[in-house]
Amino acid sequence: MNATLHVPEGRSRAGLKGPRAADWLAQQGLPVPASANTWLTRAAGPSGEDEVLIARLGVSEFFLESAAQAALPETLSAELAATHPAGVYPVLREDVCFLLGGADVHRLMAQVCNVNVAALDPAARPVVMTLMAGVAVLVVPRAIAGQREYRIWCDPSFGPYLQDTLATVIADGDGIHRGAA
Amino acid sequence: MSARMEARPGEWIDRRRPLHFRFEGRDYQGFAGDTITSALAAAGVPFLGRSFKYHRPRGILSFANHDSNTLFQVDGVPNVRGDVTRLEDGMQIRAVNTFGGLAGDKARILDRLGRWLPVGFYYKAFHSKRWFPRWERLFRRLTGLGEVNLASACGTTPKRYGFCDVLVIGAGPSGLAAALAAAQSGARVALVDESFRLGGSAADLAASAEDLGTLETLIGSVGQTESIECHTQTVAAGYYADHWVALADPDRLTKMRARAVVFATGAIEQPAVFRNNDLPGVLLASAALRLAARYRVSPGRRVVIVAGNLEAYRSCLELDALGIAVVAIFDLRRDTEDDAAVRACAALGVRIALGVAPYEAQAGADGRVRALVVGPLSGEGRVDAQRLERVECDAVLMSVGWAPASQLLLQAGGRTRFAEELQQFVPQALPPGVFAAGRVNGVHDFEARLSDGRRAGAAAAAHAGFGTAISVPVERGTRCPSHPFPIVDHPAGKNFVDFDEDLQVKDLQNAVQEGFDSSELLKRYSTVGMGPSQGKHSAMNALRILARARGVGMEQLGLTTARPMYHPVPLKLLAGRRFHVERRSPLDALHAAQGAVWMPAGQWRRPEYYARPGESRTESITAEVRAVRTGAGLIDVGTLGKIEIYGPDAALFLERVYAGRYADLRVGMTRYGLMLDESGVIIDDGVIARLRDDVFYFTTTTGGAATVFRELLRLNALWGLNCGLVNVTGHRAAVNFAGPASREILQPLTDVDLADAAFPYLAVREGRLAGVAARFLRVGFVGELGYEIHVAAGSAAAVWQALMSAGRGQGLRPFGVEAQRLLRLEKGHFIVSQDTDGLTDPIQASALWAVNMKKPFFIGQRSLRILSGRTPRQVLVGIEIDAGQPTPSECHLIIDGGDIAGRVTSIGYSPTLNKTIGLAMVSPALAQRGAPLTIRADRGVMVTARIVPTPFYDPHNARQKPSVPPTAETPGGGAPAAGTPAAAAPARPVAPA
Repeated sequence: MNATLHVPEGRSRAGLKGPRAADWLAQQGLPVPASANTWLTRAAGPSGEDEVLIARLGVSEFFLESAAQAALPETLSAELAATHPAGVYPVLREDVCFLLGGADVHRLMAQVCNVNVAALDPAARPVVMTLMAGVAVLVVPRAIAGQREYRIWCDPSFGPYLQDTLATVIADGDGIHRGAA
Repeated sequence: MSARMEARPGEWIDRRRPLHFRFEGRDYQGFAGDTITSALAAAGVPFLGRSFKYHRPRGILSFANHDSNTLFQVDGVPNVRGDVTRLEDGMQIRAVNTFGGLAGDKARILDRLGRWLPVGFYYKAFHSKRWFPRWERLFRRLTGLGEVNLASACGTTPKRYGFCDVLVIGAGPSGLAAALAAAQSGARVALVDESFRLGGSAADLAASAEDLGTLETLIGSVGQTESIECHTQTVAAGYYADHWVALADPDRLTKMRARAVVFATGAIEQPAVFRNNDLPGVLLASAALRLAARYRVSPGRRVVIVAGNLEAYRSCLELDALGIAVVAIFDLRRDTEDDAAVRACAALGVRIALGVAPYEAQAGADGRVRALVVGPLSGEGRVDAQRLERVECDAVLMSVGWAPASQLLLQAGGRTRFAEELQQFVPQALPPGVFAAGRVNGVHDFEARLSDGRRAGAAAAAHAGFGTAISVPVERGTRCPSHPFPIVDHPAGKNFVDFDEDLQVKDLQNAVQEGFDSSELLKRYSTVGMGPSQGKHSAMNALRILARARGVGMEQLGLTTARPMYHPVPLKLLAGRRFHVERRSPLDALHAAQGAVWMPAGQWRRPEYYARPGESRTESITAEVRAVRTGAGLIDVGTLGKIEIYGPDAALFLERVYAGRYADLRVGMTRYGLMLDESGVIIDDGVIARLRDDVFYFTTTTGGAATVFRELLRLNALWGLNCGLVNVTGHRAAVNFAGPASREILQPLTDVDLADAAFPYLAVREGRLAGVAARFLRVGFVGELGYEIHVAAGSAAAVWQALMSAGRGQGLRPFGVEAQRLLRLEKGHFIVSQDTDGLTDPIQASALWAVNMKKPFFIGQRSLRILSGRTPRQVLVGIEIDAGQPTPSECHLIIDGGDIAGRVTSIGYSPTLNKTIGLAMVSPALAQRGAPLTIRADRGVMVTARIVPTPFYDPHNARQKPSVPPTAETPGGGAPAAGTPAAAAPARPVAPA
């Protein structure tokens, strides 16, 4: 199967939720996705070299990830821990992240996920909360150089299982895998 | 059966590629493109299988996978469906359900014992308790189709999801038209058919040349339409809510989600019922046409047709065109249609006899049909036996009618009505998004089927948001394609209604006589329709017999709804890839490196113990326990549920969900939490830490984490309190570091002051350990000075390694779940769901110390008030087993006066106390009596136990909160003196067994 699985390292993550979470993010000078289950990015870092993804999970929960360690998400977490703003609750995020791509990525997804991800419009920047091979995941589709790529996050305790499972599906393809007698 | 006929354009076989195979030990040859059945038929094999109950010889009936006559064991795979399985070179094929081979099947004697095996005989004959085990072994030997080879390789056949706008099931004329109409409206279409090729049965069923041309054009158009995805050799096996359909092909199951579904599933030809209608050589006319057209196999040299519709005459003409001579048509009807086909048959010299029915088929020496005895009908289902005629033949084709393939429609929630003029059930009401077209919709004329398909396809696309529906009437026509009663009585029986289950007419009549007189009861009592073909060839005739017996119309009976799977699906397709979700601690690799021996704990894997060279399992566990009691031990407790609650109402929320008091819990302290359900039953426990006025951090059991969090979310939504819950179970790791040396080892690694004055027992502190931000909970987890340390999952390894490194010189050992269990048992701590069951409340568990009944409200409070006024059913007590006796196991029963008076819930040998201790649920009377208990252990050996107070070890909990370090003189405390009340040590959450 022509699908790829990549586990990016060195990323910083944070989460927050609560009735005042959106307001608090705005007060930190950050853009807030207007609709539930959408995402946006913002440049960060001294020269804008870091890109921070800000995802709105439902109405009042947010997930942030940046490509550089000790970056914006950690700063925000520290600020929350120090100031305890009312109506804003920190959410520890130690997620594992996978990047799925390749020409056969939809054949891969069809074996592990019952959401029609191929029908998602990356331009609408959707965030999907669903199950993949029995594991609760966040899915963000992106179109990069005309190819579809999916960024997947899950609870770290499910990471090894999900990684093994995806790798096995890619290796097996669509075919019947016959084990040894 | 005759051999292969000469080649003809359009045949489905490739004569350039012969294939060799073996059937019942003999070698045969077929061609690429053959199915197993067609190859055997072409080879002239007289019969292909034995029936289920009577082991009668059987041949082709439907040649469409609508009966179980042609099930085979192929290369070790059971129940391969020969009609639709392609022949492969080298196949080793055997019939199923035989003893000693197909020809010499020893069980064929059962056919002569038929009179003693009437319908339902097994309910009446095998009810003796004494004899039933013997009968059961006999049944298992006699029944069951095929053999499972347990040594065969285990593989996976991955399932997948599929998505479309319109799913069209059936690729005959109406299905093809529906798919094209939907695609032209802009919908993405999935077109499914069980056959190898598109076109349905129309290509074989004596359609006119013009119709065949139209069909080819449709197939070509479908092939060129990009938005139509074709799935051949694919069965729609079940319909589920929201247009979710299970599609089974030879390799996998596809779970197809559609926005609208068109059922163009057609109709299934039905057999005529007469004596010996199951002989090899008696088959459906459509089967003969398929054999002849696709595989060039002649059904016989001297063919007669039993007719009940115009299709019989068209079949006759088609067979003639294919080179097969029909000598006679015996039409059950007294009149035929004024149709060119009828006239053409007469012109061919075919004898046509009206109002004549088959009375019985007769077999030759080879077991195949040799003659058909016919006679004039004297009434419904009755032949004038005085005027019989014997007609020599070697093939009898039945063309008496059709039953709509409407089971999936019924699964989808459709309702049908019986159309007298068509003698079939037609859709009456369909749920939104469900459409029917073609013969399943009662439309039989070719052009009308196309129009009906276009109507349904456009409507389905419109429902899915594409295009608009077209308003055309459904043209069901007036010609009846099915005989109303193609069933002939015979005094000697063996006129089969259900070929899968060997059910005769009298079986159904007898069932009705016994009172099983509704379609549902008749089905369940007689098993009609419960065989592999699920009533495809039997349901309509069974209903007709029932209707006649009760003197009612078909409309009053109604069809039974077959549940998924509509069609047999190999279990391997349902099993799919088998995702077994497993959770791993972030310390998993470190555990493995330290010799962890794994055990499952819910979805997690945890170290049961750590194996060391030269140590047995028991020695390793004992050493781990001793390390904790005398030095220090470290255990990964990261599987615990971990939840944070924030907000002004956080304390109020906890007051409601837990039985204890938390509103007065000081910031920086912890308290044990017992969670009950509405009936007062213990469902979970944990430790609750107050980090700030409006922030709590609490744990749950490993197994309860997901359920508890879900329930808390529900309660929060219900109560609308000003607080929020955050589940950090997988995002935080936790270790428990315990033992008299724990503080000494830990202090250099942390900035938290661990002295008693700064960090008293049951306190919680936040600080850093080895540079990592951590929460420290000082709790009595295993009855020693100890700290439960919670960190972000990504930092867990650094913390573990720092502790292990720092404690190396003091004999620090990691300890696993088994040592934890023994350590906590020594303290008398109960494990929720092991020492408690689905009825255990805090009264029974002696845990009222964790309950505050004075609170205004908590879940379970009302029930506890009621229960407190009653004698508990059972109580949890500590037990000791004296040395020299066998050790009972958990769940061994406590016997008192010959009755069950309780059970052991936890037990183990305590390395600290050098005796076997345990917990048990016993009747209160037994607990109060104070006399020894009798436990029935393995093989009925009786063991004596004594009830003792708990904790067994350190009853005053001095070890957990030492102001003076322990000395060699006070290592373990020992059991308290008799009469000393057990110390109420707060129990701590543990991972469940």
